[in-house]
Amino acid sequence: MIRFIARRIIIIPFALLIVNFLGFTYAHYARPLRAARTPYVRAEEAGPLLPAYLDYLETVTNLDFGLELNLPGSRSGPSAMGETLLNATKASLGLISIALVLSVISGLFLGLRAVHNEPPGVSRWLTLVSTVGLAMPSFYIGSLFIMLSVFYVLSRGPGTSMPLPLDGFGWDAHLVFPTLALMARPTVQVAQVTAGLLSTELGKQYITAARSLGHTWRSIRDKHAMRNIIAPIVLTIASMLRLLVGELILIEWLFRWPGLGRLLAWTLVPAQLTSSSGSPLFLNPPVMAAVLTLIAALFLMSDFISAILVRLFDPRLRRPESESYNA
Amino acid sequence: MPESIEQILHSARAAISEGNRSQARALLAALVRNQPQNKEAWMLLSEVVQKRDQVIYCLERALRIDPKEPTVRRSLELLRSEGLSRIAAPGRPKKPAESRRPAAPETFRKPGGIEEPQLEAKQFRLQKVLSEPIHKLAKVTSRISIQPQASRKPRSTPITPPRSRATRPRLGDLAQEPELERLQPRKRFNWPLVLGGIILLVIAFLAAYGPSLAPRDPLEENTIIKISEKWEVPPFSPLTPGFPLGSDQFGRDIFSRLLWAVRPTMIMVLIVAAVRLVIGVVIGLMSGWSSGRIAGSLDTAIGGALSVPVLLVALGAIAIVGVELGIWAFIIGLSITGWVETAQQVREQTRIVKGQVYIEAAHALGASNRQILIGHVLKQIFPMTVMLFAFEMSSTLMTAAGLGFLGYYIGGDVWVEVGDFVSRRISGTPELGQMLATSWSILTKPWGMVAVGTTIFMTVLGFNLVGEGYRQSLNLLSVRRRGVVTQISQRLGFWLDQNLWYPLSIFLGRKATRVALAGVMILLVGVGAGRLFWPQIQPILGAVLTPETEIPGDAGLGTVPANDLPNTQTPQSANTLATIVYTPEFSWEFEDPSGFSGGPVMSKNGDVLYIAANDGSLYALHMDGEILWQSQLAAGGVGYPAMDTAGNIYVCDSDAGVTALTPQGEILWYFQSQVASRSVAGPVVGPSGAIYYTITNGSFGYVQAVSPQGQNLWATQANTPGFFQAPVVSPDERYVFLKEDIFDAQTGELVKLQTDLHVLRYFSGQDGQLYLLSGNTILQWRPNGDSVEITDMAEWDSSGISSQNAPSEVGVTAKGISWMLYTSEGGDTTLYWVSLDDKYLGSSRYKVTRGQVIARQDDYTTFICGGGPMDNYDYAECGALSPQTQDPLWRLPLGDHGLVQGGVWRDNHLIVSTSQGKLISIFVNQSQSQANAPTAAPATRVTKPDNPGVVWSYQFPESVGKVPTITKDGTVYALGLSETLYTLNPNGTLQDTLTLDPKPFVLEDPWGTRRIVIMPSVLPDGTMLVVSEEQAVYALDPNGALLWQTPLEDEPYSIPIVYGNELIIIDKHSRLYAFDSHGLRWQFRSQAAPNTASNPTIGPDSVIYYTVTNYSKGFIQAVSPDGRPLWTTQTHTDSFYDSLNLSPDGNLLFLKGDVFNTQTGELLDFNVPVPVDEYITGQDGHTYLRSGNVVSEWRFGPDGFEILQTANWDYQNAVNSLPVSTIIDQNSVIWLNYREQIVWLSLDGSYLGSFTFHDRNVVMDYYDLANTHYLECQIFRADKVLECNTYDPGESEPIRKVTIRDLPSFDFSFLEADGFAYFVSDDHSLYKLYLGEP
Repeated sequence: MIRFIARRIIIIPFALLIVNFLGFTYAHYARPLRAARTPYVRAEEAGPLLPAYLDYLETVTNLDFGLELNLPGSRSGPSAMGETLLNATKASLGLISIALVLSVISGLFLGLRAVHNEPPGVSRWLTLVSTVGLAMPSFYIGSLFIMLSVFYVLSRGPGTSMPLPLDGFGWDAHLVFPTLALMARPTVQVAQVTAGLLSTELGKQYITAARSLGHTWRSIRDKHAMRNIIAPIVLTIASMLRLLVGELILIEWLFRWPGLGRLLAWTLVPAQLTSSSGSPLFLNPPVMAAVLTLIAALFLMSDFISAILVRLFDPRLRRPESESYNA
Repeated sequence: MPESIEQILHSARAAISEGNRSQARALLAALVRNQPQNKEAWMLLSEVVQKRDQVIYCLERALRIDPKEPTVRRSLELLRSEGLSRIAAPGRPKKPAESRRPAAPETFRKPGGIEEPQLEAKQFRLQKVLSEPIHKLAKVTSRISIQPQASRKPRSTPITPPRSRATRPRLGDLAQEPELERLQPRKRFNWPLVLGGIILLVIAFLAAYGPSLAPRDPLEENTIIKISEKWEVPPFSPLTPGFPLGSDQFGRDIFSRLLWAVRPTMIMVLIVAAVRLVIGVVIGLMSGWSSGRIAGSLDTAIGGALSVPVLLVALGAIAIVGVELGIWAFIIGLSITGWVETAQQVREQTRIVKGQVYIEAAHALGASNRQILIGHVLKQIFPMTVMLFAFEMSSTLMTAAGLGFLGYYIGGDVWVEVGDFVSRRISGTPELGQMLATSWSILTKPWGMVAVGTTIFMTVLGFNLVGEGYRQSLNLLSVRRRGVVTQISQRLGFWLDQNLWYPLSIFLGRKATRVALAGVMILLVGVGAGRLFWPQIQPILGAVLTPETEIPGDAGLGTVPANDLPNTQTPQSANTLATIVYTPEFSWEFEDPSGFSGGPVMSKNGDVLYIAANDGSLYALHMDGEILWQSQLAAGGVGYPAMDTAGNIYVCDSDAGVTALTPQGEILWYFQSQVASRSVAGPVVGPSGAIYYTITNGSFGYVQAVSPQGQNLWATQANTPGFFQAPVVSPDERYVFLKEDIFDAQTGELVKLQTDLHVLRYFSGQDGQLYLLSGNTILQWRPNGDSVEITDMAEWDSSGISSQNAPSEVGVTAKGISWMLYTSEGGDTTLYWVSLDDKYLGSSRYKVTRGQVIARQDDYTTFICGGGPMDNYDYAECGALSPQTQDPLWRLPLGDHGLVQGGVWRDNHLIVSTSQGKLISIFVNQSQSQANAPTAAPATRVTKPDNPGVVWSYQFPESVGKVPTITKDGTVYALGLSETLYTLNPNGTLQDTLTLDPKPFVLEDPWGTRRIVIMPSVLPDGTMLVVSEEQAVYALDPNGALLWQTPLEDEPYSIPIVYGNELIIIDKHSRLYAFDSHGLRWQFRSQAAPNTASNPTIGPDSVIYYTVTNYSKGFIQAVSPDGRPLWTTQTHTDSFYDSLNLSPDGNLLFLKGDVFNTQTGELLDFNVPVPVDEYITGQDGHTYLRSGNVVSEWRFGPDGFEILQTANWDYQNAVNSLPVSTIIDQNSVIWLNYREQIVWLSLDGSYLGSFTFHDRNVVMDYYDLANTHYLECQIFRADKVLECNTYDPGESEPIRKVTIRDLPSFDFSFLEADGFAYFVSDDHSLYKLYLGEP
């Protein structure tokens, strides 16, 4: 276990460095390439990569990145890139963790509610809910929220303020819509997986044995069945994070949440579709590298944590590790 | 598979012998699910199952595998005959109503039921084992007796219906036997499959027939429609008659667009999903099958691809590839990691299959890997593909929708040529992604978004349900091989084996054993099929993509001045050339009063000029301006003359004729076209001597070809609407081009060459090659069959050019250097040089409007002539541009002789003709000198607050609007192109910047000629209110944090007014909104009429007055300060679009000749003895009226209306028109503004003086009413000097002159009170000037 953790911890910085370099390289070469293809982007010749990257790395060490970002929608004016990135990371991390925690809780709740004990099985309503939920793009849910609030205001007449803020940033009511829109798909997926695993587990022999010994369903579920399925659920939750990061771009774009997703969208979405002139961030190598590194860090950390958790919960996975250690 | 089959069988046998039947059953059940073809396992299983019909089923399976197995056959027959009655009988009384079985749904709710399969991928792992408590089992097999049985099918058949039904498992038993239920599948209503199938059928129907069902043209725009006496402007709401789902902002029917959009989107998704499926299956197969390093690296690839969101990768890939690549961009973007889920599932399945004994057996029998993969593995995986494909479709659509939402959609954008100068990028393709991308523009009108989103949601749901349904039916596949799908797939598999795979394997021989080859083949077939069918798909997409009907109504958008052109620094900037000084001077002039129709042309040896005049004269002149001869054409001359190799001259005339003359001026022949009435441009002569020219009958253009002898060859109608120019002959005289039309030069037929590009025009270069212009790029092409083959292109970064512009003139020099000229009506002119080997040579910018290329020199120096400011069609000037310098080498104003028509360059002489009949020769002297380099040094910024001059300047990092907002305390707000709001302190330092997102609303006048950005308004407490492009108002606190946001119900009508602590906004449909820093205070809509006609005017008592109209009548609406209606009165005057004026005391309201009582709203009739043109409120606090040129003071006193004094003056001798505006200043001096002059009068009628504007170069003026001065400034751009004069009534000469030197060039400026002026220079600097106290 220790060895496993140590190995992961050693790998992570290298992986991040590689992602950083690849992100930088991508934007470095993509910018002129893209400019050559379309009449919209202003771009210079791609100079030699390595000196540019080394220059960039030097600025990273100062933590100011030697660049001022003028991020549309952000607080006043250009700010140092380091600060912008820090704020964006905070904003995204906050949104994503709230959405993740809430969707895990509600997903587990739904999943547990949907499972029958005897005979073991899953209620049909969950299938219905999850099929519908999985088919709904998050931005569609988000735009439905926006539409409902706008109609609410218009129907209540002048003077009505929005029930909840539609966009912008804040650790308050601003969170509601983005979180709800983000939550929909992870929730049903967690619910689905939990219900499926649990009903399979409840069909097993040891459950019958425990039942015959007079344990209540409640204690059987809590003490035995849940413990056996917790590891795959943790893995599901980790994979939910991947889904959430993908959705984050859309949701932050829709609700103007100044996070990493929106930053990434600014670097990837061509400017003429978003504003009259060019976005200075479009395929900007330092920004691209930094944002991708941060997102990759998010992935790696969640993967790392989930791997540890799975090992903690599932003793079967620990054994080969310790065996090899002993050997 | 940890254990081999044999081991399992062995342990099963051991368990049977030990009497542990349940363990044996568990082992065997697992085995038969993996190995449905294992006879041994089925036979053993038959011994341990508990029910008779289960026994029968197992035996039947065994028999099917080996029909010749005698023991099984015998046992089965025995069992079917006698055993039936003996064993089944006891069960019968328990369940008499078995025929009702399907109606008892609760028994179906088993782990193997519908919910089970949601364990994604896990169904393939077959982890479950039988976990039943041990039952005492009857030795079923021992009770078998023999009776022949016709049916070999395991379950119910029409032949033995009652029996077989009776032999089905009992409900109660099954409830305790969840695992075995799988062995005994029953017909279950697969509702996801059915429901999903229905949805998909609907979608397929829409894709196939949607376009023909669409009630409207999806591209048809409606700018306004009338619905029961009410005029509506787009976007129309849903359920508007004719627009069931409403319309988008162009008034296009969303319902029809949706019907059209399904097809291209589904085709795109289908292709991408198929590619993803193929890649996924190939990688999954390889990864599951191979071992060692390959497997490891493929696993890593799958793991890596799994850990990155597909949307992220797709975004990145499409960003680099560019949507211009069409579907390929999406195939690439969505397939980079999109295949991974399919690959994962296929890998799992492959690994399961790989572990089977029969694979081992196949190996042992000498089958190659390829044979096994095809014969066994693929066969196992094939049934999965339908399910995988359904999920692939849904996830592709989902990601594509996300991409569309972010603005990446297939089809990209369309260039539409609005005018000759202007192209506009629009997105018209009805495609779901595009509709998503453009639907979210107006916050309060989201139905487009909802309709498209719902369509996508339903489609995804349909595919998910179908996938889900297939997954359920697949779950039972391993043991139940009787489902329709399974049977079909089995038969198909068998057929494929027989007719395809086996012959193929023979054909390929033993060498092609690699799995990779199979993979590559599948990939090639998939991609090839996509490619193959692309021509079929493309017309469908293309039909939708054609932008012909797409010309937007507001063409004025296009005339955006090219101010945002890049300041591209060429490496060898200026200094190298600065040593040469050009001094242009006039050398001679020639005049024809009727004006010249085109430019002059030069004879071959360069000593004679020929030029045609509008009255039909054709002149031949010496190069020194001396006339050689003059000839008269049949009608007025049109365009340039043309010359053939022999020196004969051809001239077009306004009667659609062409005259051929000898070099001596004798007429050879005259030809008149019969197809149209007049020519539009001069002729061109082809290498064969044939003459081509463009003619028109007013609505259509034709190209007329005439033989060298003056005989009609052909005349063909042109397709292009932009036919107002001469045709171009290709160097080999195969084609004649007219803009984007191609004619066959021999037959005159319109040639249709296929190309993917949106060609703006075809032309030939001086290097003898064919070129075309598409967007901002020049491409070299040659005809290849019936399509255009691109051979080279001048790639360059045209990003700085406004996307709404296309070059007005292009060309390629003999050395393969392309040049492009961008110009516009209001902006300036820029010339770019790009070589065909993609080198950007430079650009040069010339501040003239309507620039055109007159002549070129071999060293790329190009002579350009253009016009003056917007509405001045008299002024013209010429200059020379070089790629090495950004500014012109020289420039010379020609004076007010009309637009330049054309010219020639020879021996340092530029000879140009103008529309008002001047032929001017300019001699350009070049001398070596260091001084006066033409590239100016940046203007020195002096700060002289006490003396006239520049007070301060601030350079913005980007282009800013030309009219910043300046508050009373001198704070400046300027909005940059990236929607950044810059706040400058009164001393010119940057106070703050704030990026506005969403960006502010842009007002357009009804003709689309002007666009005004609504600048953010700052309330006294520092809150900033922004009217956004989404038709919403949002508030930012002084730090830029969003406070609140409120939508408006309609577009704003004008610039909002800050009044006290409130912001008053008026929208287009007679609504008023009052916002304060906390949000909307009130909203009011006039009931009098639906449309706003004027800006609001606010009285001293805070009452708001504005005009509303139903287009035929006008009404004044008065609204109380808290948003309640006060009164409404119909106006008498028809000029209700004029602004309202209040009397100084606020008791009277004036609208042209109408007077209203502000308290009651009454329209007052004063019985005025004179006809009143206008009521005026004087700055001195008195009321005046103007009748013609005479102004009177009046009052409304106790005796009613009373004229106090009339300023009678001798206007007959002074002016010949009516004043355009009248002002009475604080000193009661009357200012009558007659456009050309200002007249000052005193109230007693004495003439104080006048000032005449003789110069059109006045850039700013200001009526200093407090001091009764008039201040006007002129700029002399060439000298970089601003000259301001102050006039005083009573003085004919300016009382004060101020000259400010060394200013940068600028366009637009404005004066504020106290003698301060501001302007924004071309390098985005804001200058504050002090012009001195008058």
